[in-house]
Amino acid sequence: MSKEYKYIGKGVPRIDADLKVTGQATYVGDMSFPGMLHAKMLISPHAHAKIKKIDTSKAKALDGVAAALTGEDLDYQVGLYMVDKTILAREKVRYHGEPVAAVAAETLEIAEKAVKLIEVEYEELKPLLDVEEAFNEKANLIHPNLGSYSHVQTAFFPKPGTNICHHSKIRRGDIDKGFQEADVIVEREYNNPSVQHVPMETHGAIVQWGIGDRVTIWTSAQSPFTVRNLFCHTFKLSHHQVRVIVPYVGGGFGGKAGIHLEPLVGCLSRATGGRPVKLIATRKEEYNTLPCRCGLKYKIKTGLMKDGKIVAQKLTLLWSAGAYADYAVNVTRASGYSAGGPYFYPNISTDSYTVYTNMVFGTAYRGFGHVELFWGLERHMDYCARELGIDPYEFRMKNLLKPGDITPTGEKLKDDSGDIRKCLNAAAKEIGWDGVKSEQQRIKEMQSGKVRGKGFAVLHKAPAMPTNTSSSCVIKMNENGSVILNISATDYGNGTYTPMAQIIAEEMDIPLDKIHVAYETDTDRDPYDWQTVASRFAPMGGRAVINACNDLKRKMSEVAAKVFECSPDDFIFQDEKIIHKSDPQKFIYYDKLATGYVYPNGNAIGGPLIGVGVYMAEGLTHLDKETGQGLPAFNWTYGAHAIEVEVDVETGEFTILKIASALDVGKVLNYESLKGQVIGGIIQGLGTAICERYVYDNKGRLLNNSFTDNKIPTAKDIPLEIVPIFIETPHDEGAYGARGAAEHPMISVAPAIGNALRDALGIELTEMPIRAEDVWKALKEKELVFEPATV
Amino acid sequence: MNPQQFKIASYINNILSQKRKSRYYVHSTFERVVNYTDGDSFISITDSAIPVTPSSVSLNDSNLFNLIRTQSNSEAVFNLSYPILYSQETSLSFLNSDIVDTKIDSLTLPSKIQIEKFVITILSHTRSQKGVIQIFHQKNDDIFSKKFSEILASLKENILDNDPDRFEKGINKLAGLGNGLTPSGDDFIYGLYAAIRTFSFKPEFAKKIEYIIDNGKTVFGDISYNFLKSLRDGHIYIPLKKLFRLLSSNSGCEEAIDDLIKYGLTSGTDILAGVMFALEA
Amino acid sequence: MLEFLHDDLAILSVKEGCGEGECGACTVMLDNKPVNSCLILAVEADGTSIRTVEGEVKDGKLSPLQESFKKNHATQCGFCTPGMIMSAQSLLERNPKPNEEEIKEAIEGNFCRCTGYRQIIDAIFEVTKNAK
Repeated sequence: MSKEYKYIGKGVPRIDADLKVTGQATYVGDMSFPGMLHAKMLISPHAHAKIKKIDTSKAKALDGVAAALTGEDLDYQVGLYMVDKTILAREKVRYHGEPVAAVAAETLEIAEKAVKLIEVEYEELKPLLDVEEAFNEKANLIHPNLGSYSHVQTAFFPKPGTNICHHSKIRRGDIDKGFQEADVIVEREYNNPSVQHVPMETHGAIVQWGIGDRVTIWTSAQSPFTVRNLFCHTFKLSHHQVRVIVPYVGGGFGGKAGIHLEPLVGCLSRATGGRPVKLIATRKEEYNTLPCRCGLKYKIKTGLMKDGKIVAQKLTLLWSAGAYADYAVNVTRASGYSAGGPYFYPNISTDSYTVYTNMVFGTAYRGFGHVELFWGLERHMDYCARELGIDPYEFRMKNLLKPGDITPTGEKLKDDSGDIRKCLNAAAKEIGWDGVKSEQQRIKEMQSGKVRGKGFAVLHKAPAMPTNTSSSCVIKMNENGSVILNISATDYGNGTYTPMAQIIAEEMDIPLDKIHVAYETDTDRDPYDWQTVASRFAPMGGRAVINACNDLKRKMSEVAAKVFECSPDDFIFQDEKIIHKSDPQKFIYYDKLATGYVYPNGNAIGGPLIGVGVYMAEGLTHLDKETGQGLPAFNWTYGAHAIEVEVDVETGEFTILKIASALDVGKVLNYESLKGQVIGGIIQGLGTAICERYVYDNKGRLLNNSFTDNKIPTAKDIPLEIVPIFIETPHDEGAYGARGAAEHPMISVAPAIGNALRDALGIELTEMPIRAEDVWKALKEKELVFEPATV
Repeated sequence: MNPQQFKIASYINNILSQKRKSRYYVHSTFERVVNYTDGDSFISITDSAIPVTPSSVSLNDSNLFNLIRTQSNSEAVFNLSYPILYSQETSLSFLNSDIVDTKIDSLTLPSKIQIEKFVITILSHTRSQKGVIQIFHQKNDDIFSKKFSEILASLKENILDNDPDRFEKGINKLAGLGNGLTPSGDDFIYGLYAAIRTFSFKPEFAKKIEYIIDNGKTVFGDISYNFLKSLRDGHIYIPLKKLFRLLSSNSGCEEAIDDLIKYGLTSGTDILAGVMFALEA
Repeated sequence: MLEFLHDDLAILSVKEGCGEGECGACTVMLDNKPVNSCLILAVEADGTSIRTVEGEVKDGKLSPLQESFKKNHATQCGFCTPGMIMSAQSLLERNPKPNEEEIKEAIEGNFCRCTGYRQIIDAIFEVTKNAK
């Protein structure tokens, strides 16, 4: 396991860093084409309303306007898993910010002017803003035609006649018996608001709808093949007609994982006779029109024995999806099967619902439901431990999963599944956990005005991906022995490409500066990859790259075998040469094989060297509709965060003194890059924990759609000390044993803070975010804490 | 003391010493309960006909129970410095030789509809029962009931107006009110507090009750003080715990309600009355 | 000024992150002081010198700060990087040996969603170690 690699594991600089530090990296917003038009959207001022009339005549008449479209012009359905959306609102609007019309004009100023000239008449309907109300509501339906929407039937189960667009279940063991046997039952409700991804680069697309329905799309996106696929489905085109190009992307975090502005911009281009049209979302539109992360309201009921063993766990999750399902149904499903967390449950029952509400709709967001879910779960576990009078660390150690245990979906864990206990142990040790704070200690510290507390939380996640997820790549060797790698995974800051270059360097022994990863992703040129999401690319794409290297080596071996008249199995690869195992004098430099081998007499054999590699996740299954049993997980990445916090008892303000984050990544591919992703994830987790959330008024209008009122952490908000810890329990399938860890650093940061505050002050917070005023309020109101007599 | 008495005494010592390392004296003797005290806390030895309560030891051997009862009188002293001789004696078989120690669940408040259904069930099962519950059946015949319902009315106001201080005064009035080994007022408070505690609502009001219990040794009846104190310490009467679980999971509560009614003369229904009041408020 | 630099002069490193002076992605140096170019009218800048990150490269070589950013993995998606570098460079020109608090304050107005700031702060620190 501790094999020494030349390139793998090293913190080599990112191969695209030069372009970024000099400003030469091009994003969609930087691109322009001859004859390009600029687009602007008109958005709905109401959260729920019928569109009675819409008149674009004045806009069309404005000089410089090339096209103006409304929902009436576009009878198309769009949807990833549930086809419930149209390109522009038709008949009714379902959220404040929904696009109702769009204009393409010569300049952005003219487009903005034109949009103001579009007249719309609305009839307001009652908006459903509370997820429980929407869940129970039978008359006021946000999607009255839910029953007729096409959807992925093997995975998603809508309930027509309600606002429930999906219900996921897990049933394992006998939950009623479990609760009967339990010595104590602990049940509580938790809450998570919506937040936004806030990529520094907003969504944007340029589309040219050419003659013969040849469409070219330049977009800031994470999944070019998904954009192409859904675009083709929506407009009934063949996949070979549409080309999607992704340049540099300024952050995605899941918000750019699906299809968003491209269909609208495509329609505008078509309406102007094929001129390229550019639409870049403003920051307000990014918050209000583009999707955010679903809200979650949930109940957790745990049955416990006096000795700390969990005997029953029941979870009821109500996901507030917003106006459209988009990714929300899959978030519900994925978090549904993961909802128990990395614990062993003899009896577990989970119900995860996707509920429509009249708010900005939710899409994939880093963590895919797990950030929201683990807030409640890990706060709850701490609460259970304290109710029993047991140290929260010991309590977790008693119940965490280990190899041989069966998970809630019926999967049996193996030795290569990962080691959650090691993660918790490492993190807790790093902050010096030595037991709960006693009430006397707390009172003493309160007198000084500043109280400290320690807390931790565990996490786990498997990639939420279809059972047939795959990656592929092509390595082309150039005449001088350098190589170019073509993959359609995208790098939107997550550092996708550098480890792939490292893998080629390692496998082929070619120096890094002779390896180029073609940065722009182009569906015309690059082979298929499912999506760059879900923390799955490094282990899977890495395998595809390894397979491509093996392919290249095999092809080189075949030619070299002819040259040296031996077996193709007789070679090793070193220092850019293919060398005979037993006779090192027999070797050929790669560049002499790159475009074929030429004998001294001029005969040529072989041909251009191209390595092709594919990798497919095998053995995954659908989940049973009634019990949720199956194998959905390619791998599990476990982790734990431990935090020490200091609170000012006068103001409620708190500082994170130290955070230790341990993740079982299987194998570190690039140390500095992984560290960067982990720290970035922690700070993003910190943001959702302490300051981010969507605020709506009672009419469903988003009140804080700008940086002024919807803040993200700045350089001054970071913890004083951040300690990333990487555990390496190799995974059998992932490249070099690696697991993805892109989303995981963000998960469980919030409950670790909540638990640390509980330790510090004795307050129990159940809602996110945790702001200074919430801490202060909880202290003043003497938030409910029944200290068990023994602790 | 004869050898058999000594055997029993040692065994009882063993059990009692698990609770507190001090001398226990008989406090009171009844047909099915013998109550001991060390001056500070209570322990009861009960016949198995009575449902188990916190701080009680239930003996399933009625003969033995009768023996203990007859051997006990207010002057008997069990000196815990005697060595433990017969703690594992097989001829003495006990149903439950551990002090009852069952933790309080922490559940979320049921919906309004569930509470309404629950209240209706309680009322229908307690029509012929005596005690405070009769107030809810709108029978305010005697002075006691009248006084009780006055206090309850103002308590309800205080809860709805969110006035913990006046609530505290009201609870004080209820404490010790009524006759019997466990006064009705005390049992009512028990039910009220147990409900507030289990369903985690109105923490300010719970804190007021706790304050009264912590300082109210003299206002409550002796046995009920013990009972309330054990609830304060986090232990709950098992039939009540079962009832709350059934209510929370929306299951049938009738049998559990009947079990509770069996407790004491009116204690069970008085507790139920307290629970009902809390949930409705 | 942001639109003028980016759209009219094709100085593409200057990015629009919010258009209201909150995020710092459009930071440029105006007479060697860092400013949000989205809040300044182009005409206001008449007669001043404007520096952007393209100008930090001399003879095809990265500046010490740019090298440090690269080495310390201080750039991930790269969108905030030009503005971040201008804020940091301006700090280092005014204060060659800042402490951690001063560094954090100088870049407080530059949002980064990817890195969590730590490696950026480390990159700036590393340059100060070699400063005279």
